[in-house]
Parts: sequence; C-alpha cells; structure tokens
Amino acid sequence: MGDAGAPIVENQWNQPVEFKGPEPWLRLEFRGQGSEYFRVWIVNVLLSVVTLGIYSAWATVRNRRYFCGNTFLDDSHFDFHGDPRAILVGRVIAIFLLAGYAGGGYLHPAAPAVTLLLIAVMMPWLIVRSLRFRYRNTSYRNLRFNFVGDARQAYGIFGTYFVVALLAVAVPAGLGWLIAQEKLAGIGLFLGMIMVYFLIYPAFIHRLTTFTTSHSAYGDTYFAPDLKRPAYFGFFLGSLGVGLVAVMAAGIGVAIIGALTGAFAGYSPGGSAPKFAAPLIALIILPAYMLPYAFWQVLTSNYLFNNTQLGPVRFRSNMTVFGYWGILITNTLLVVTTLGLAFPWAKVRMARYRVESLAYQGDLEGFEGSLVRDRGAAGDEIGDAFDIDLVGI
Amino acid sequence: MELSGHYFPPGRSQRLDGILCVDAAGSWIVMGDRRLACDLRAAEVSERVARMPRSLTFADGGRFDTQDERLDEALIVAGHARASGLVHRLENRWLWALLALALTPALVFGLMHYGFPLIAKPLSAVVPPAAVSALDAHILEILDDHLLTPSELDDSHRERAARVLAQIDSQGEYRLLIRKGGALGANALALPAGALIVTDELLEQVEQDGELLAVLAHEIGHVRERHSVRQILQTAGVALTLSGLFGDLNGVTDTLLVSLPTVLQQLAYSRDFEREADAHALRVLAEQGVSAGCYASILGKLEASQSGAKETDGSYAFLSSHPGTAERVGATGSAAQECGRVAKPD
Repeated sequence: MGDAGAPIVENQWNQPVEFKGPEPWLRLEFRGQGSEYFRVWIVNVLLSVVTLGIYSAWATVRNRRYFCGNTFLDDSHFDFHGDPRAILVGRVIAIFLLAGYAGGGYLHPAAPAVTLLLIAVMMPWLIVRSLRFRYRNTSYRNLRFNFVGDARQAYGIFGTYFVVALLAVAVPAGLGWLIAQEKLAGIGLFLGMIMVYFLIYPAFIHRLTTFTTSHSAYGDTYFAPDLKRPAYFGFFLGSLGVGLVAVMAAGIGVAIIGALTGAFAGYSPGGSAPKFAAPLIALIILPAYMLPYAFWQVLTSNYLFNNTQLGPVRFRSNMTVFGYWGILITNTLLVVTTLGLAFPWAKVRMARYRVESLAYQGDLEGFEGSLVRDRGAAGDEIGDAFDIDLVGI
Repeated sequence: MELSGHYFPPGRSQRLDGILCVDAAGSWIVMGDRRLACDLRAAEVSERVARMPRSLTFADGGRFDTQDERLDEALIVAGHARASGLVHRLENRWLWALLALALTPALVFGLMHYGFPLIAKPLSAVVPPAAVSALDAHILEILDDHLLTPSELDDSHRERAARVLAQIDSQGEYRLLIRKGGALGANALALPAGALIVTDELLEQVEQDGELLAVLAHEIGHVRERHSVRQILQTAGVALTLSGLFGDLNGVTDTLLVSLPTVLQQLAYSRDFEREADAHALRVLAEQGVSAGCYASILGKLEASQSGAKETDGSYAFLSSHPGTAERVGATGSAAQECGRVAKPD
C-alpha cells in the first residue's frame, strides 16, 4: 500500500492505440427483464411515495442505471453516474415553474403567462444544461460521454428560427394587407403558417439535431452527423400524410361500428349506443393517433444513427414503423388494462426494441478521454449542474 | 482471495480481463503478466442495481468490474467501509416487491384522500389575502364578459338579499353581487376573496328568507374554509404523484392514468368541499334559529329547476362536482315543509 496522496496505479497504457480495420456489423443487446425491472420499479415507487417525492431523485438514478447497465455494446454495458442531489435540485426548480404556471394564477392573473414566457426563454439553456448533465454522467467502458454545446449557441438557433418564423408569417400577411386589406391579409397569414409548419419547423428540428449531435462526444471523440435538411422535410410531410390516412381509416372504422351497433341497438333519437361501442371506437382511434408519431420517431431516429459516425465506429438502426407502432399500441393496452401494473414490462419491451435495432461497425477499444472525473469536485458541481427531464435521449 | 472481472484503465475505452487479488498485505489486479497495485480502501464502490456487475473506481480513475459475490468479503479484508446496499436487497426479493406492490396503492390512496387535504388546510392559510382579492376582480371580469349579464330584478329582491346577508355578516366581510345567470340558471357562486354572486333566477325561487340565508351561508362556507386554494393545492399534489408514477410512457397512458384520475379526484375533493360548505350552512342556520328545513327546501327547488338533463339515479355520482341532492337534503336532517315554521330565537 502506498501513501494516501500518491498515485498508486502504475499506468502502463499511455501509448496511443491504433484503431483496427473495419469489422463486421454487430448488434447491441438489451439484457433487462420485465420481472426484474418490476421489482426495481415498485420498490423505488414505494420509497418515493413514502418520502413524499424526495427519494424520487435517487429512484431516477437507479432506474437509469438499470437501463444503461443492461444496454450492451460488445459485451460491455453503459452506466449512469448522475448525482441524485442534482436531479433533486432540477426537480424542485421544475415544480416551482409548474406551480407558477398552474397555481400562480391564484396570486396574480398574469402569473401563468409570465411563467410560460419564462420557460420559453429558459428553454435553450435548459436543454443544454440537461444534455450536459445526461451525457457527462453516462459512461461506457469507464469513459464518459460529453456534451460541449453552450447556451449561447442554443439561443442563436432558437432565436434565428423564431425570427424566421415570425417573418414568414408577418411578411405575407403584411403584403396581403397592403394589397387588399382584410381580403388578402388572411390568405397571407395562412400561407405564412403553412410555411412555418412545413418548412421552418422541420428545418429547425434538423438544425437542432445537428447541433446537439455534433457537440456530443464519447471521450474526446466527437460524433460526426451528416444530416440533410430535405430528409427532415420528407419525414415531416410523410408523418402528416400517414396521419391523415390513419385518421380517415379510423373514421371509416368508427362509422362502420356506429352503423353496426346502431343496427343492434335499434336507432332512436337520444338513445345511447351499446356499452361496448366506446371501447371498440377507442381501439380504432388510439392506433390511428399513434401512427404518425411512430412514423416520425422511427424515421428520424434511424436516419440520425445511420448518418452519424463516431471516430472509426459507424451505426445502423433498422427500426420499422410497424414494429415500433405495434409496441406502442400493445404497451398502451397492457399498461391501461392493468391500471399501470404492466408499466415496467412496457418500458423494458420498448427499450429492448430500440436497443436491439441498433448495430455498429468498427473498433471500440481505441477511444480516449481527458474528462477524467474529479471526485472532489462532485459537490461543487451541484449548484452549477442540475437535471430537468427535457430531453428523452 | 481472487475475484475475476475486468479492468478499465483511466481515460481509455479498453476492457482487459483481470483478477483482483486481495490479502492482508494489499491488493493487486493481475492481467496476464502485468500486475497493478491498487488501494481498495480509497476505491469508490458502485451501488448495486439488479445483475449489473459492481465497480470499484480507484483514485486515478481506473475501474475494476466484477460479478463475484465475494466482493463484500474482499472489501472487509482490505478494510473498506461497508456499502449498505439496502435498496438492492429490497429490489432483489419478490417478497419485498410484492409488499411494496400492496403498500403503494394503499399509500397513494391514503395520501390522496387524507394526506393532501390534511396538508392543504394549514398551507392555504399562508396565501396572502391581498393576492386573493386581486384574483376576485379578474374572475368577475371574465364571468361578466362571458356568462353573466346585469340583474333585471326590481329593488325589493336586492333589498331582501342585502338584509339577509347583513343578518349573518355583521362585519361586512362579504360583497353581494346580483347578476342574471343565463346559462348558469338558478345558482350562487363564491369568489375566493369573498364576493358572493347570486343569480336572478335563484332569487326568484326564494320564498322564505331562511332559504336565501342557507344559500348565502353555504357560499360563505366556501370562502371561510378557503376551498379554492385548497382545491388547487390538493389537485396539484395528486397530479404530481400520478405523473411521478406513470408520467413518461406515452401520451395515451398519460391521459388515462394521470389526467383522468386527477380530474376524478378533483371532483371528489369538490364534493367534499360542498359537504363542508353545507355543514357550515347548517351551523349558521342553527345559530340564527332558522329551521334546517329551509336548506332542504331551496336545495329541492334548485334540483327541480336544473334537473332537466341530469342523471338522477346516482350512477354517475363520481363525475359530479356536487353530492347528490338526496344526500344533501338528508344531511339537513329536516324536511322542506319545516321551513318557516320554527322561528325560535337563540
């Protein structure tokens, strides 16, 4: 045993390691189990309730560690090291904001609007903060991820697109007004909103995704995304189209059920439909409502992985819209019919699907990182870093 | 003692097979022909979650992971403070998990039915009165703009209402406002800071002063017991609890398991507050020497004037903001015919 202060490990790994050549595609693996996660979940729920929510920050860390620790890449798992106290601080801030929004109206009529504005103004900063907390506290093989984007850049992106969206609406509306007052101003406004919806919003998502990904790193190696803006126009239009078709199909389904049950019940004005009609209609509407969401999630997520490189490592994600959609629907039915009891199984199923749709190629051994954790500084970090659950990445 | 596992050198994404050797003389990690001295006492031991291997993180940032159950023993040998691992032991046993499963719904239920109301009551007293009165003006403005129109009744009705209010409000704490109810019909409302709104339609139904007294006393009950603040606080508690439980799956489960139960519980709170306000009304009636039958009488009239579209069989009681009229009339312990008969002063 050496002196307390002196470095004890003789580090023999200081020579750089060469990245090896291309390797075959290998799948990621999720080894979590519903029944096992159920026990983790329910015990932590109980402890959170007993402590009136205070323990929930510690519970969050255990839950995240469960999911990170069961995600395996080349037989090594991820880990999460977040300080629960930082999460607690974030949660207290979030509750204050929520209280200002929901209950502030009781103190002053303008309070909810002011809180909402405050949240909107804070949003870029909050996103950067929570990404930084999340990434810096996630590790793989004892090397941390990192996020180096700063709030100034995030404000630049949000601000630019906000101004562009404002102009996109104001300019056509203003021009319309100048030409023919009310008659054309409305049309101009409508055109402007169409532009915001179909062009500016997808472009914004593209810009934001590029920003967050390219400022993320594993050790000292940055992720290198190569994302094309038109792809996002396509994903957005596609999910709108899919949504439209789904809603129309659901409408036809509901009409058929209405006709059939109406025939059963015998139509009478003011008479009510048989009791089984409502759940049947819900069974048709819920999937229709989830389809465009599944479409957008699967396509953007696949696209991001398939076009992002990390040093010598490349990724493939092959989730399918119907696969993801099926899990969403069955998970929802499962959780709702068991009054929440099936929640852990639902989460594990979704995590397994997402993780096992991923494959990688390339050498994982050669990454280095200078972000060596300083244990003494952990306490100082809390005032500076907190986690608000904003980004579901 | 030898524990097999993996060593991760600091600052490098490398995994090396290794064996942690611990004895009284010290500890080493052996990797093939390489041997690393390590200080187990200064190592940070990760908390245990499910089947994840446990990690020892050394002062220089290097890490050793092992699945070996004898790690605890090895740590004791090396003189390391013992990690508790209590939560892991609870999570690892079905017995504890099932116990948690039984206790959690009971606790959540208890919190919603008794806990939050208990906490909200003293907490509601903290809200400054000035803040509340600012809100009154705002709500009244909205009501006047969208729902209510100026009263069309003659002065005799107003004078009667003012006289009845003065009877129970000697301090002049409450402000009486008479409006035509329109869509609200025969109704009375209390705003948080003490404005009492009574509709023309209600005043037209009143035959005995006692009936109006009962209605005003009920509304004053809402104000005095600070029901609006308590409602907000209690509902917020419910919403936070439920979204903490099921909040992050998807929009549909969120609606069905968080929003819907929150609304139902909010309605349950509302029914409890109505019962409290009714009890207040009955107390005031007794103080004033007015028969409780007057309350039964006006409740019956209001029910009759509004029951056009309502379910009356009680099967949708959980969707109602007020308890059923039958229950409320029953609680008066008196019959409508009693109104006006008893007039014995205190």
